[in-house]
Amino acid sequence: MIRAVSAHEVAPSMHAWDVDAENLTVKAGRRLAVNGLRLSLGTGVHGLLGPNGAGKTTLMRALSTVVKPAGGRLSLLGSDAADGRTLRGLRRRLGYLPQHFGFYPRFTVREYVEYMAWLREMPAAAIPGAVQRSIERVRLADRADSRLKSLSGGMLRRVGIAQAIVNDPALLLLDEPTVGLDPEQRVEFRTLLRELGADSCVVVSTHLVEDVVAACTDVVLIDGGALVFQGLPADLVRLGEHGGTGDSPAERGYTTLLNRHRSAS
Amino acid sequence: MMRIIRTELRRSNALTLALLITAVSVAALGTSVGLWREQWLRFTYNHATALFVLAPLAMAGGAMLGRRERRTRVEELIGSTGRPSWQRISPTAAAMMVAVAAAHLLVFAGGAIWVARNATYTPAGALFVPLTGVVVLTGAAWLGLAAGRAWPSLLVPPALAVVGLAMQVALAERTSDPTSRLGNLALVPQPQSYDWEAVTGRAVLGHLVLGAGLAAAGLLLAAAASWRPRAAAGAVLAGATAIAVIVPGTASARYYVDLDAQRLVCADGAPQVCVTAVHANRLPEVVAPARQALALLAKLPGAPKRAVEWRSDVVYVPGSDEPGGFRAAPGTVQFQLDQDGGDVDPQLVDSILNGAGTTYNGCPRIDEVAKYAAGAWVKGTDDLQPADGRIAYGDQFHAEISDTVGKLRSLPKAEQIRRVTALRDAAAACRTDLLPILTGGARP
Repeated sequence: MIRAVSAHEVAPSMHAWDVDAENLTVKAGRRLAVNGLRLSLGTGVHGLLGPNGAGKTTLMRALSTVVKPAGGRLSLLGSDAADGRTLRGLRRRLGYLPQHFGFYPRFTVREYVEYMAWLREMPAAAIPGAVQRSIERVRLADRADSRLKSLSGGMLRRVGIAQAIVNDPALLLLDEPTVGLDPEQRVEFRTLLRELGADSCVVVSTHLVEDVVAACTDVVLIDGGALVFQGLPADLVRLGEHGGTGDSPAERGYTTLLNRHRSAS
Repeated sequence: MMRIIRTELRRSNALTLALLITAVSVAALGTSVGLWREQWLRFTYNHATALFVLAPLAMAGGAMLGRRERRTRVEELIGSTGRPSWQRISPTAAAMMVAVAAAHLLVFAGGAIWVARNATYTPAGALFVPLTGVVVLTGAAWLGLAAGRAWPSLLVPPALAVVGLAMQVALAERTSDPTSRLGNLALVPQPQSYDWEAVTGRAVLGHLVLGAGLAAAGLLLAAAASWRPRAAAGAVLAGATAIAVIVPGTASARYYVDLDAQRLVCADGAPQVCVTAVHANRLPEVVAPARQALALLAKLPGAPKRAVEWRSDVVYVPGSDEPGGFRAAPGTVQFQLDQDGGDVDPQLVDSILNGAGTTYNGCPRIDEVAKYAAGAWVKGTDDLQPADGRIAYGDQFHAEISDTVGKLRSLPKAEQIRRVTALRDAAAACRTDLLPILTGGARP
């Protein structure tokens, strides 16, 4: 399906990085879950890795503007994420799939994605086409008019992805997007990620190292709310060739990096 | 946004709420069909009284919907979107408004078709009364929506319904005090006493402002993200409540006499028989007994030549001894028709003859034995049926009537006529102590 290209998509970028964090701190409750993070992300697919409690979800929530940073600087698509005056315009260009994807069970797939497109302030005329396109991209066209409460966990996750990409976001944030997807769907999803990352900044938070290696252009590893490693998936694989624990070189590279970081601190 | 509103209408509890409102309204109206089927003014009152239950119900329905965002944990997702909160809640609020308005107006339209076929007087203002109900229901639903968003507990909707109902019960009790203004907040005010009493514009305005205040406060609170809109909501609600309490005046000022409703409609032929416009559909039933009564009264000199329905020139205040009423014009006998949709009094002839045609002449009702006895004499019987059977007197009362009539008949015919005529003229002049006129000075 052919889609219209909006003016902001073809406008020259006025910022160096789509995500630019400097000494960023974000609280989760009273705890500093992200602590002094420095991070710069541009166009491409960035796999965010880290153990449980590393601050991945808190960082994703800050990147999605759901929580305000407690300190430091966070620039998203050239806008200060803490500046309420530019927040509305910024949010129009965001797509977000939270770790827990909330939905209205009585809505159909189409209605819910349409509702989210409306909330993301898409032009009314563009919504029906964009909704159909995003539903097709996640392979749910045959269930478009099914109520959400009738869908399986994997299908719901795909609805979550559809609503996140409906507005062709410049910054797409996906927190655990492959939970509930079967192997075939995960392979399809990786293809979709690569397409999306061609002209936007996609941040995928996941525990699945092989997904990152297969689909991401960049790996970001955090632990204790701080950056441990940022590099290419190939670098991760290379590190795993000389030690670490895990079933694949990428997993061994992951554990090697974590162990080094923990030993150093 | 229209597509989103349509989705909300289909997928939220708006339709369920609309069905509940319709069912409760129909049930409430169904229990009082006889009271309103022929009277617009009674119909609008009875239709509006369901608000007593419907407003708490709408509030609970709004709260159910308000809980949805947190209950389904979509806050996280919605928090990442740019649409301002007041715009975000607009489709939800609009769906609620459409649902409650459609249900309320649909029931009104259904009843209105029935009333339009039977009513003989159509006050234009009556058609605006259900719009007040729409605003009140919308306000209640939106306030519930705000409460559900603020406190998503499952207990909030039933708690709101119970609190709303309890408040209405407490306020309804205040309506029986004619000097109270607090009763103006009750959605079930005292009903009108006479069919020609219409609710004042100020009373309608009071409920309209109250509903608008609830709606504005509900929207502000539902969209509020800081203390300022919450404070503004409090101020709006307080202001609207104050206006709703003060503007309509005391409870006794709720109704006014609609002179158009009292306009006389007369039957063809002679002698002339007229009823008020609100009771014009009773005219065919009234003509025969009224003319029969006029024929019987004609045995007295200076007998009335026309019969017209009794009308009050004031609004009846419950508990008052003063029913008001226009004084009968010379040559006219007045009679009373049932005021709450009942059938024409089967004893209408007796009712007119009572007091030799003076019972509904605008004077206080006194010396009933004398009036009944005079009526029985005119009718040629020993006793007279009480008007509409509603006033029950004891055996002693009727024994006195029979005794008085018996003694009266024992007199020469001319004296009988003289005494009954004297009683009639004295009663017409609102004089008291009538019985001695019939008995020649003696009281039994």
